[in-house]
This record gives sequence, structure tokens and C-alpha cells, in this order.
Amino acid sequence: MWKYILKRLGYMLLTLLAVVSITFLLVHTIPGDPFTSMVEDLPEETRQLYMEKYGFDKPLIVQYVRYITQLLTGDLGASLRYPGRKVGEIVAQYAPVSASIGGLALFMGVVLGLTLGILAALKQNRWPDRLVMVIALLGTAIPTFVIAAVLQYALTVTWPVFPTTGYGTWKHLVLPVTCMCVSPLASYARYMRSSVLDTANQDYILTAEAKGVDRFHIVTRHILRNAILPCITMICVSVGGIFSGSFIIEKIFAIPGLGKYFISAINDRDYSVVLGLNVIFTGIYVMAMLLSDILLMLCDPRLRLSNDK
Amino acid sequence: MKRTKKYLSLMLTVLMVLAIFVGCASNQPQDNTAEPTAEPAITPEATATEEPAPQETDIQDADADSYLNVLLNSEPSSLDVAKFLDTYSRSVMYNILEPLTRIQNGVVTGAGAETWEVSEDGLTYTFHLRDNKWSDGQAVVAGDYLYALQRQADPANAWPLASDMFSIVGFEDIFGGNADMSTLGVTAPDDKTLVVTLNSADTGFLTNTDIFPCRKDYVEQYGDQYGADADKVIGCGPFVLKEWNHSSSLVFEKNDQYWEADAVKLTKYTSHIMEDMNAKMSSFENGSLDYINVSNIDYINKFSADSSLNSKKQSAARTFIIVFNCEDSVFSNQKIRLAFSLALDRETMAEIITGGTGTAATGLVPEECNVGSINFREAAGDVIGKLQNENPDVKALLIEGMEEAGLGSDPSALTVKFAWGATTADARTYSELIQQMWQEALGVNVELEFNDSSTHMSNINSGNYQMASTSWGANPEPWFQLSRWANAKGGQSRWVNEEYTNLVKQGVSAQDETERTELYRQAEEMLLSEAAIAPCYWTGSIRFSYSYVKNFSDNVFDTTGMKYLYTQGR
Repeated sequence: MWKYILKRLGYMLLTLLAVVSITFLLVHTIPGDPFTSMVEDLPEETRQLYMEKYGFDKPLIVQYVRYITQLLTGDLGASLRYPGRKVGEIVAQYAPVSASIGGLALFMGVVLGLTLGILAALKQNRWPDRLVMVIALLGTAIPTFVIAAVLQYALTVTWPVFPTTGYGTWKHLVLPVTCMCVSPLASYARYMRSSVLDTANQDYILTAEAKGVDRFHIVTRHILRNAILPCITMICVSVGGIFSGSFIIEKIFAIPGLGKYFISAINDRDYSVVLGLNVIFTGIYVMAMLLSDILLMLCDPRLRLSNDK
Repeated sequence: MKRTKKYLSLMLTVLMVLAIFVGCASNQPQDNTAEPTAEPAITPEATATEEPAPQETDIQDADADSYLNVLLNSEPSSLDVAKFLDTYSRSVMYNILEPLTRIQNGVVTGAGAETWEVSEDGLTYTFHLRDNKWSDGQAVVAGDYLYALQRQADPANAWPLASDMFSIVGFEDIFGGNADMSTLGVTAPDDKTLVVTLNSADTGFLTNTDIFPCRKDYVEQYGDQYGADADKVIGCGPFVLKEWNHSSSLVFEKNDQYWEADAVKLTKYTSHIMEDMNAKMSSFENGSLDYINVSNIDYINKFSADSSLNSKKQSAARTFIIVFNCEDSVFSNQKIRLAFSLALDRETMAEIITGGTGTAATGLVPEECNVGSINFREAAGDVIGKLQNENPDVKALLIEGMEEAGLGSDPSALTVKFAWGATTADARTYSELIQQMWQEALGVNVELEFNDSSTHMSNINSGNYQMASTSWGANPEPWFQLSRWANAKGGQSRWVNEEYTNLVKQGVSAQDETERTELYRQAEEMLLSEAAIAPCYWTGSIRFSYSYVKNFSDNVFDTTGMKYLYTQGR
């Protein structure tokens, strides 16, 4: 098992390097640079001076080597658009905001989604199942920005219960979290339902029933334990995504999160921020994948055996 | 089977209803508030009341505890005088720092400087500072202004807006790394006097330049991080920045040390950073914001119907322009350019693109610009209209140009490309409107290209385009806009014309208002008849406010910030 984890860590570093290299190339290939997008009709000499200051006048390969060396020392660089702010500080400041909203939304989405999914599967083809499936369909089909716009107008203008925008108190969290949990809720409900149904049709469940195990124990010990396995992967992947936030929700509710920051950094061609954030997002994502595999191995002895071979 | 069908039809119905939702949302106009557009042509049922101008400075009836919640469209880049680069930062700096002069009701007024003299030749400005204090009680001295200018000139800071200061002796050379800081034409003979020497007489100097002070000890203490947070900057303006929650809000409180603290009635205000249009409008609607500039026609109609709101038409003093690349094989011909410029139906553009809030342009320089006491637009007249009268048949003009350029005489064989700096649904609608105008009037084929604004700007600046949309903000004097085509590159149009450059240069240094107006008028007429650009419309917006918000500045060029605003009867 340890050997397997070490191997995976090695792959992780390779993945990170690949992502950094590709992003580096992409960021520098798209037209425009941080300075022309910031200032109307920037005089050529000012632009040159700026390029020199940040070393963008050097050949791409030199910049690349410099960036990688800098990364290895743990320095993610500083923003060009917002002088005086380091990428590390930006992450430290904005990521918790995104994570608090994304984490809460994911938690609610997973808990409610799994519950509804199990309920739907156990009451297959009866009204609870149909209701859950309609909710799941709506949740998947209605875009988040529509839900957000409707809720925002209804609950902050028509009935002013919550603040329209901003971040700080629990009241600020309600609307964004609600909007963001709809989509995971819908997909977990659908996923869990089919997973439970799938498991319930397995031979070992039939065996258990034949042995006379009561319904409650069949569901909790046999069906759920097996049905939840595929969801672990999904949950870990989603956890990896909560830090990157939701651009749309953060924009609509004016939340100072990483998602909005990342998109505006791309639009501003703020190279070091785009790269730095991408490194961090990728790192978290790859870690989450590794974590999900380890969790799966702990839950499923079959996987442990196959990997130890 | 029957059951499945029933569900299928139910599902389809649900989907259709959803499709309507989605359709509505994507048809919603994009964020128009950032770049406001003038003139509410289509608000017949408007009941919101107009309020009076101009801004007062002696206020008696303010609420004891006046506070405001206002909108800021984006996060300010930095509050360091030598690093900031956007209007959001500048708007904050007007409130926390004291520039030498401010523009108040359209006139240059003493701020950090109480008085100043300009030498006979117009080259030397001697400013006499008034007694003002930093928010920690230390006196503001001439050296603070000098230090700020030195930092702005320092190539190590690579200040993106440095070219604003190039009229100061030595500034450009120092900034380019070719001269020593000691050659900068700014001195502080004593704590109360600042002397600035210019390269050549520049009548626009005080209207186009903001000279802010900067505290050396703070810069040295915080280094690179100076101006990046509320506690890493110090001010001497009407307000003190108390909190800066990045990308969320900035909280300001009145500065008791400010020289004109008696005139400042607002004890506190908060700038909320919002980018989403619906969020901004909803925030105003439920009172989370006290006033807002709107250029979206649906919201204008909605708010206009509310009689409890005040409304005021506001120009943005910005011209929407189509630039032609004069180095392009097609658009190097003046007649072709002019034909494309005159083929535009500016009234329709103003009505449709700005949702009826814009004004069709009769020239480049907007109606609000003055030369001293002379209104430039009144003096210069309708340049576009005049050109249209002289060239009634634009298609014939185009064919003439095509023949000159060796492109044959069949417009339908000519294909040109028009680039737009956005990728939104609105961008498509608007550019298709313009495409149609050209194709109908000239019989040419126009292809459209859409890019995000960074790519678009980069393409324009590197000459990688044929025709492109852009816009230019104005300053109080026409010089600011006209000079954009008077540089060595010929501006974004790459239209190098020595005669034009000379006209603008002579204009800038002409001390006599009438003479200056005439030179600028000639320059503008040349720019438009040579058709380096096609100005289309002037943008604007409607400002809606709750009735308790008083004393707005109604001159678009004013730099008084939040200083004189107050509430009464909130």
C-alpha cells in the first residue's frame, strides 16, 4: 500500500509539472499582455519598460526556467494587475471565502442528495421516487445563474430577508450556498439512486434475503456500504473543487472568492496569478484524487488486494 | 407504454418551460453600468424628478450623521501614487489624498495648493500650498508632492500612466532610464512652495494632470506593499480609508485633520464592489446602495416610474469610435475610410446600442468640453453633418477610392473585417447592426470578428486589424482626445500626419482661448475628413438616487469625489 501511495505521489508531481508547463505556454500564447489590457493606448516605451521590469522581454524558455526555479523555492510570484499582492497571500485571503461557501454547499448537497437518492431507490417507481427524480431533473436543468437571479430578486428585493450581496455574516451565506448546493444535490441523488438499485439487484443481496436477514440490516449493512463506494470518488473530486469557487455565484453575490478572482486574472492577463492559482488548484485536485483512492482502498478490500500484487 | 408516453410529454413540457427561462436570461442585456452612455430619449412616463445643479460647498442642512453606501465597479489596483493604473484607484485617491488642484463645477480650483502662478511663457507653475495635514497630524509639505512625482518618474516603478506627466521637464527621459532624477523639472524651494517646469507651454496641464502627495516614511516602511491595504497607506484628503476588504468593500470615514473638514458633512461612506448588473440594480432597489448610474433601458424605465427617486441625465464624456487601420491595403485610402465613416447611421446607433441613452456624435469631442470659457462643440459645429452634405453619395465615394487604391470598381468584390472587443450577445447584435449599415449603404461584404478586450486591444495596438470598435474618454479640454492621434505612431489608426500633429501642438500652447479653439477645430475637422477614425456616439447614463442624497457634482469632469455629498432627512 505504501509503495502504491509513493508511486501515486510521483505521478502527482509529474501531472503538476505538465499542467504548469501547458498553462505557462497557453498563457503566453494568447494575444494581449497584462499592460495593454490595463491602460488605454499605453505608449510603447512604457510597455517596454514594464516588460523589462517583469522579465517578459526575455525568450519564453528563459522565462519558463526562471518560473520553474521560482516555483521550486515555493514562491508563486506576485500579481501584475494588483501591485504589492503576492499570489500566496491572495490564495490565503480569497480561498477560505470560496471554501466556506463551496464546502457548506457541498456538504448540504451530498447529505441531502444521498438521502434523497436512497429514498428514491427504496421507493422505486412510487411517488417519492418520482418527486426526487423531478427535483433532480430540475436541479440539473436549471442553470445556477437563473436560480441565483430569481432567489436574489425574490429574497432581497421583493421580500428583503437576506442581504443582496457581500460576505461576512451567516445571512450572507444563505443564498449563495442554496444556489450552489442545488446542482450537487441533484447529481448525488441521481447517482445514489442508480447505485443503490444496482447493488440491490446483486446476487449477494438475494443470498442475504434468502438467509432471512431483515430488511433494515440488508439496507444498512449490505446495500449502502457497497452503493456508497462510487460516490466516494465523486465526493473527493468535488472537495477538490470547492476552493476554486464558483465564478457565477461569486459574481452575482459579489463574494470576494477565488473563482471570480481567477477569471478576472485571465481576462487581465495577470500571468503570475493565473499560473499560481492553476498550480494550487491542480495540486488540490490531484491530492483529492489520491485521497479518494486511498479511501476506496480502505473501504473496499478487493482494491487493496489488486494493488498489492 | 402509455405511461411512458405520459411521462415523456410531461418531461418535454418541463424542458420547454425551462428553455423559456434560459432564453430570457441570455437575452438580458450585459453589464452596461461600467461604461455609462446620455439623453433618456424614451422615457415618456418618467415621473422621477430632476434635481438642481451645481455643487454647493457651504452646507447647513445636513443630517447629523450623514453616511452613504455607494457602488464601485471593480477592485482598485493599488493606492500607491506610482503604481495605480485604473479609474477605480484614482476615484479612491481623490477621496483619501489631496491633489494640488481639483476640478469643481468644471473649473480648476485650488485644493492642496491654495494659489498658483503661471509664468508669462506658460512654462513655469509655482504652487503655494495651503496648511493641510496628513491623517496622523503631520503637516503636508511641498516635499511630499515632489517625492510623489519622483516616484512616478522612477523607471523602477514602471508606472503605467507615466505618459500623463511627460510634459514636465525631464520626466520622459528619467522614466526611459536616460537621465538622472536630479534633472526632473520639479523643485520644492520651501515647505509651502512647489515649482513645476514644463517642456513647452501646456494649457491643458492642470486639467489633465493629477499631482498627489506621497509620504516617504510610509513608502519606506511598506516597500512593495505600500498602497495594497488600508493600513499600508496614509492619506491627507477629505476621508480616511478605514477598511479595505479586497474585492468586497472599502470603508471611509471623515478625516478630521483635513483642511476643509468643516465642509465635509459625510461622516462615513462605504464603497461596495459589485460587477454583476442585476446585483447592482437589486442593491439599489432595496436601498443597499443610495444612488446608481444606469444605462440599461429596462432599468431606466423601471426606476423612472418611481416618483420617490431623483434622476439626472449624465454624460460620460466618452466617444464610441470606429478606428481604421491606415496601414492596411484597403484603409490606407482616405476616400474608402470616409465612405465607411459616412455610411454609418449615427442616430440609429445611439438609439439602439446605447438603449436610447447616447447622443449621435457630430464630432470626436463631446459636448461637455470647453476651451477656457468657450464651449468647443458649439464653436466647432456638426463636422460629421458637414461632411455628409459634401459627400451625398457614399457609394460613389467608395468606388472612387477603390479605383485609386487599385481595388477595381465593384464594391461587392470587396471584403473587409470589423473587430469588436467583446464576445457577449450584445456585442454580436450591435456589430451586426453596423455590419448591415455598411453592407446596405456601400454594397461591400463586412466580416465580423469578436475577441475579449485584452486580445482586441492588443490587436489594435499592434496594427493587426482593419476596422475596430473602441472608445475614448475626454478631459475638460479637447486636447486630451485630439492628441491621441498626434503621436509618432499616428494613434491607434496609424495615421501619421505632420500638419495635424502641428495643429494639436500649437493648440496646446496657444494661451488665447479663441485661437486655441480655432486650432483644435481645424485639427478635429482634419481628423474626421481624413477619416482616421469614425466617431459614432457619445455615451452617458441616468443617475438615480434616493431623495435624501444631496449635492451631487453634475459636471462629468469634476474631481471633487465624495467631499461635498451629504444626506438630509434619511
